[in-house]
Amino acid sequence: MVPRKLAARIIRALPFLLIPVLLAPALTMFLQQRSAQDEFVAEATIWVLEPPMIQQSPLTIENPYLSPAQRQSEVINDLLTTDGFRLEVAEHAGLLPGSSDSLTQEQRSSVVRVIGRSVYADAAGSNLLQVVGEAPTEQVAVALVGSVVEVYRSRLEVEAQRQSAVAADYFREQMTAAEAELAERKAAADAYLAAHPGADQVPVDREYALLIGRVESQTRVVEGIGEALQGSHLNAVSASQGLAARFNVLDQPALSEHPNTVSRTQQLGMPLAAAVLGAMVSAGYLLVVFYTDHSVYSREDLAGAQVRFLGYTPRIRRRHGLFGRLAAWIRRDRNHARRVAASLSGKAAL
Amino acid sequence: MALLQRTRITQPPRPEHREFQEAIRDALAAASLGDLAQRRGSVVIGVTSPSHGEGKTTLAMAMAGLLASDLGVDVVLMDTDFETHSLGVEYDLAGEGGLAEVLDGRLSLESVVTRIPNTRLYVVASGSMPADVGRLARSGDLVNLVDRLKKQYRYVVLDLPGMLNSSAGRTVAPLCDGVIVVTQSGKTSSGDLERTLERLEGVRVLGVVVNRWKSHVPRWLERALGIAS
Repeated sequence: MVPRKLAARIIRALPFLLIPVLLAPALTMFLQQRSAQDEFVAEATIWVLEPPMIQQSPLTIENPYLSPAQRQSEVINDLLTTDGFRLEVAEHAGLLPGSSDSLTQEQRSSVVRVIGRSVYADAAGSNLLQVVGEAPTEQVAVALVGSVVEVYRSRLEVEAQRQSAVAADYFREQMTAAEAELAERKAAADAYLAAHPGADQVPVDREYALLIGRVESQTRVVEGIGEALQGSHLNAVSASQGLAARFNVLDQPALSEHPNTVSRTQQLGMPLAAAVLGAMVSAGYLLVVFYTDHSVYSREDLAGAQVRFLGYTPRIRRRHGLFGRLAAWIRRDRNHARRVAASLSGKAAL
Repeated sequence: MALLQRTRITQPPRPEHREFQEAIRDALAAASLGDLAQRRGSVVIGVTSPSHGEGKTTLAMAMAGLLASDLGVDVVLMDTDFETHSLGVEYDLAGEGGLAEVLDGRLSLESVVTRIPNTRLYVVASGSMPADVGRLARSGDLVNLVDRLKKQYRYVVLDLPGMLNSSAGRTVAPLCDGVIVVTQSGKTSSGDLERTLERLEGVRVLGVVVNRWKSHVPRWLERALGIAS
């Protein structure tokens, strides 16, 4: 059962208790309106395969269940956490007054912070990647997304070329060694033939056949290395063309005509949270006031006094409307109740 | 006559005053004053409160007036609160002498008892502020005076001082057959009431009246929340 004193306190203080409940959301909405600015969103959709920089290695732990789009988005988002990539994106988008090297530390921090908040990548399917940019103007949003795509693509290209160059260098070394070995084996076969004329005639000399077999196997090795080397050269030369299949921009970032609309849930979320907070403040105030109020308000408060309750006598006030009561209050008319009490002795009054 | 002019007792009470009147009657009934009167012949009732300004004088006036008018018996209302002497002010008896002068021997009891015209209510003001309130209150003359009043009037209503404001209240209260404690709703603290009841130890406390009460909770909400009336 609700204590009468608490119920009365709530009723009496209701206007005051409602202030935080109404004021907090109103203030939040005002601040939201004040800080709200139009935000334009630009998106680019890209068909992707596995990024070239991710190689299966026993030293790295790769999640085999991630789709190519998820891997690519991870790589882009990882790159977007680095200051260098952010500055490169900003520079490419033309958002910097000069080159990134000429910026002060404060300017760099500001640019890095803004770019970090504005762009991100997300997988839209197994092989579909979306790069999303949000900015106060549509041009900046489009420039940011395009810049991220271009800078990332150029990095992919550079990486592909680097890997091809590394492979070419490796195969070139292997080719040199293999060709030297082939030359040695050919020389050994020729020397044996010179020492044993007719060894190449049928029936072929057994030792000579063995030497020729070694030459042929080494020739196959040299040919295989030569093919791999050519493949590396091809990769290096065709890195940009190969990238077209690996990172194919299907939808270029486009200018949006309207700013991003904020959903009703987002619009009402903060004011609702503020209202809940205001209600908690009011409830806290109410509880403090209630538990610190030790006055006798009704018979419930006499329960512990072990004394009989005789009754309530109502408050007596002049009832002359608001102005009459105000005038009585100004005149400090406190004796009205006594005059009423004195009048009760008259028989005519009964 | 000044009192009559001011209080307009010939006018019927307003509805809100009738509510007050009925509340006083209910309190008197709850205090079982009729039983006391039957057993003792005449009854001395003290009306007190923990502090000043909680409505004890108002309730004493109302109780005395209703006892006189409802029962048709002689009732005397005596102010023993020498510090506020509210009754003298309310009934325009200030400066005409009162209880203090009687206890000092300067005036006779009969000379300070004033009858309210057209009623059976008699009023004794506290008189001028004595130099030693405690001594007056403790004097045997006060006991004799109350005994004399009991012989003349069916009900003697004493407007006692605030129990926490004056030590005189503690001295005068034992002269009463029963004491009614008045508290002001929302103002009197439980601690003050407790201390008041402690000071009234040995005195028959008839009960507590919660004065200036106003239910801020609407009836429908009382029913919905199960709040006891």
